[in-house]
Amino acid sequence: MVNIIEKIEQAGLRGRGGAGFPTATKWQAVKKQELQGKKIYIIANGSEGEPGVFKDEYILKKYPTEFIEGIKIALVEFADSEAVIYLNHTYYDWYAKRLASISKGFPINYFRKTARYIAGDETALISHIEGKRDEPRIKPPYPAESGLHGMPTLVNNIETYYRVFQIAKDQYQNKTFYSISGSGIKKQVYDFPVDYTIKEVLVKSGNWPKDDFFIQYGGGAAGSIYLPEELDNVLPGAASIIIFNRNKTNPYKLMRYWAEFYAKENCDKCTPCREGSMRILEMLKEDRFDRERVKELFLAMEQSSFCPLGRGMSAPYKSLIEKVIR
Amino acid sequence: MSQISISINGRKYQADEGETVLQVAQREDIYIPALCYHCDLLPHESCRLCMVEIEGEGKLKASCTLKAFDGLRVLTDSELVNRVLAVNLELLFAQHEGKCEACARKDSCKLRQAVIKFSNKEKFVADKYSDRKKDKLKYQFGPSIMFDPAKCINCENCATMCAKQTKGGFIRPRESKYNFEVSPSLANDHDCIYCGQCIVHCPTGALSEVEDYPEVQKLLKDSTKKVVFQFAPAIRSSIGELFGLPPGEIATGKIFSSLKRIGAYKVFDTSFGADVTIMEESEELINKIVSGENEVMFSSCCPAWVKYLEFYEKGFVKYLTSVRSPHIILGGLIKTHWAKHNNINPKDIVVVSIMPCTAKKFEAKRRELRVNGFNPVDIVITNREFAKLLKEANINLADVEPSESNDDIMGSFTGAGEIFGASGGVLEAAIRTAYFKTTGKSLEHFEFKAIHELNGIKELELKVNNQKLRFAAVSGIENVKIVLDKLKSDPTYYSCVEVMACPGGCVAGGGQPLPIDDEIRKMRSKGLYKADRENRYRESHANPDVVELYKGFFESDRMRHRICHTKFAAKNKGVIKRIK
Repeated sequence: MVNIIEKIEQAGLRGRGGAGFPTATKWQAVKKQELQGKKIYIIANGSEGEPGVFKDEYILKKYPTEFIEGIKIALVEFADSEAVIYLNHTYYDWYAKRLASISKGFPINYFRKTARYIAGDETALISHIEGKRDEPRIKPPYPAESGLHGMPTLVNNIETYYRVFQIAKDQYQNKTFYSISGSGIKKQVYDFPVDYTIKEVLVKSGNWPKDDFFIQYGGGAAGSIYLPEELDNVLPGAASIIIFNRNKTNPYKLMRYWAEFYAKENCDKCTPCREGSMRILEMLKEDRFDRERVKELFLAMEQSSFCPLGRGMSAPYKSLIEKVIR
Repeated sequence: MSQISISINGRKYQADEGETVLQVAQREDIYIPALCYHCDLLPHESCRLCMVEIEGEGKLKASCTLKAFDGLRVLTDSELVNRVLAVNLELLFAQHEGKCEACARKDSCKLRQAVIKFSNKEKFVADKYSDRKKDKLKYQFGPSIMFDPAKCINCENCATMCAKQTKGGFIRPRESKYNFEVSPSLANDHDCIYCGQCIVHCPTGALSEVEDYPEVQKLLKDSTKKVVFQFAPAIRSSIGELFGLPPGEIATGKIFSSLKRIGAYKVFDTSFGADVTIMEESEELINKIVSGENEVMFSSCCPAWVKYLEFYEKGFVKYLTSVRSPHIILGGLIKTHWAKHNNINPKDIVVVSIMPCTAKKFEAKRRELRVNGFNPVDIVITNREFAKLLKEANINLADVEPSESNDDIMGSFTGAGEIFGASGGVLEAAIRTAYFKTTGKSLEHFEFKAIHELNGIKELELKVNNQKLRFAAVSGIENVKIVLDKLKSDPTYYSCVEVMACPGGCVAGGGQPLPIDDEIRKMRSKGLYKADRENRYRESHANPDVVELYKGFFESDRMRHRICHTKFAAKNKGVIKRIK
């Protein structure tokens, strides 16, 4: 029998949380720690805080057994291990009971996320479970070495465990769940091959708009803006497509939505992200968006923010300004 | 340890394995405005003002966590670094009320220092953004500490330190809609112990002592008052730093002279009070051991530690010695014995203590310490306030000719009293006298090198009259917690434990000159031990004025008890005031 980690590696599975880190590498790093006799924590990240991403919920609703099976595979793979399923409070309230009845008899615990968006970051999530402030931690050490309660910890997205289950059953067809939403269409999840171009995804799902449009790909906050002519590509980031009607969308309103989101949902630890997000919101609220000043803020955020949230915050704004506002 | 070589701004520097770029830069005097970095704390990486550019990569890294490796090349002054730091500094300054001239922390503010350095750079505009905190109210914790949220830059250093110094942290981040705000806990099970370590670790003026020196200035001008000063052992090796002298340089003589120059009616060295404390404490310790009552005795000289027990560890209060702290004893003596001797009405006396401490402001206000209806000490000012008192009177301590105490009844002091300012000093002084009292002879070696070190928990085992006794000197409440845990299961584990709430002891107290780091702690302590070696008296019981005191005024047990002893008891939460 081929070992599950080798199978994951052969399948080329990448984490479905958005960053796309090779899953096998994470599992191998944890394996190395397990071989030293350490207790292992297995975490399923179901915080799904990004606007426009709702495929974890889709799995919880449609494939709870398969997802739990995926967790069990990890529990079997790592000898002395225990799992925590970390769910945002809505998902927890709606699905935890049912999941718990499925996972009965296994060392699987449920944690209700009350924290912000940033607590979807794997280290901030660990801090939150430990009862501390939901701030990302300095890496290294990576969770695989020292995570929850200082023990080696495997953190994967809910969908990743679902795909692991498929791989174990030889049912994996190199697919991923696309969350598609936006103006004039029904909010829905589609299971398509990972190498589909965005155009293919939109056409095959019947969502290619008739009117002039642009999309945000990679999440309703962190994603970048793309024009129709840019969609003959596979794009990086979370598989989320939000469609905007170009003629009906006020780009300043859209930016204000992002600014509200970031100002509230970041952890406020580091200067450029905390103060920068505040100042962008302030400018948009007061209707005096100063492009030069914003450019400076973006540079400081990209170059000096502590975590990827702050470093990537400029991407949606910059692409919207460049492509849509001009 | 293997040596590595790194390049900073094109110049080569040696570094030790494991050292960070910031540590190398600070050693080599290369300016990096690392606001939130403090060597006592793990890097929090929040201010983002210590960014350096990795040469050739066009990327910035935080130098407080960037480990040096052989061949690493960084720039601290490149265009990119300056552009990014200018933005971050503008952002931080915009959430800080920049009323620098009136600020108590003007000279120790790292933010102000950075703004001054950047103000000549073309990109930097100090008031680019509106001040988002200008309407915040201030908080005052007891009579000791002032917290001004309008000056807070959200670095959380105070909260991290406070969590170590209390249980669960009294000042802590509190979440609001968009941001967190550092604020005091209003819960009944959290309180300030007034140690002032938040001030030591605050890079701006958000935290400072409650300043009482303007009151002293007023009283000095009042001809009906006789302002009598006393100064703590711990300030003599640090006050010089605020006048350009190196840490550890002993300034006792200069302190006497400069206080006389600003109009002190009389100046005493609190070391005299320390000698009396030791006389009483050693007696209590000996009685405890002789009577076979083996439970631990805690020192009570540190009011922040006393408050910690009274509020957070009520069950341990009973182990505190009943002896009062040195400046309270000396204050009590000034208003009774000394006043009578000099024919002065104690009502006309104002006793001002210059202390390395913010908690002493709280201690002086404790009603249970009153003697004949008087507070033994009327006003406590910190060492930093003392420097302001001198500077505002145009006195440069560094230039002052030293002089000596000239009091005929409480003027002498011993090296045992002087080392009270270092962690381990009280214990060592007590052992010197307790040994003499039990064996009739002096110790062969006065110094216990093991407790001169900077460790947070220092243990000592001694054989006295065939009895093996264990002692400990602990500094930093974080370390106290470990020791208390040990004592919870066995209260006889130690015979005597000296506790100072501030890491390193009073030399690094909450009222001391800033900055404070381990190197400065060491130098200030060394200064005190040097003063001890150079003092002709090194045992409290050998202080001739103390000997006279016990032969005369303290013949009356009632008087001795009233001045030297007290009762400690569990306490509820103190007062938090809001101030416009």
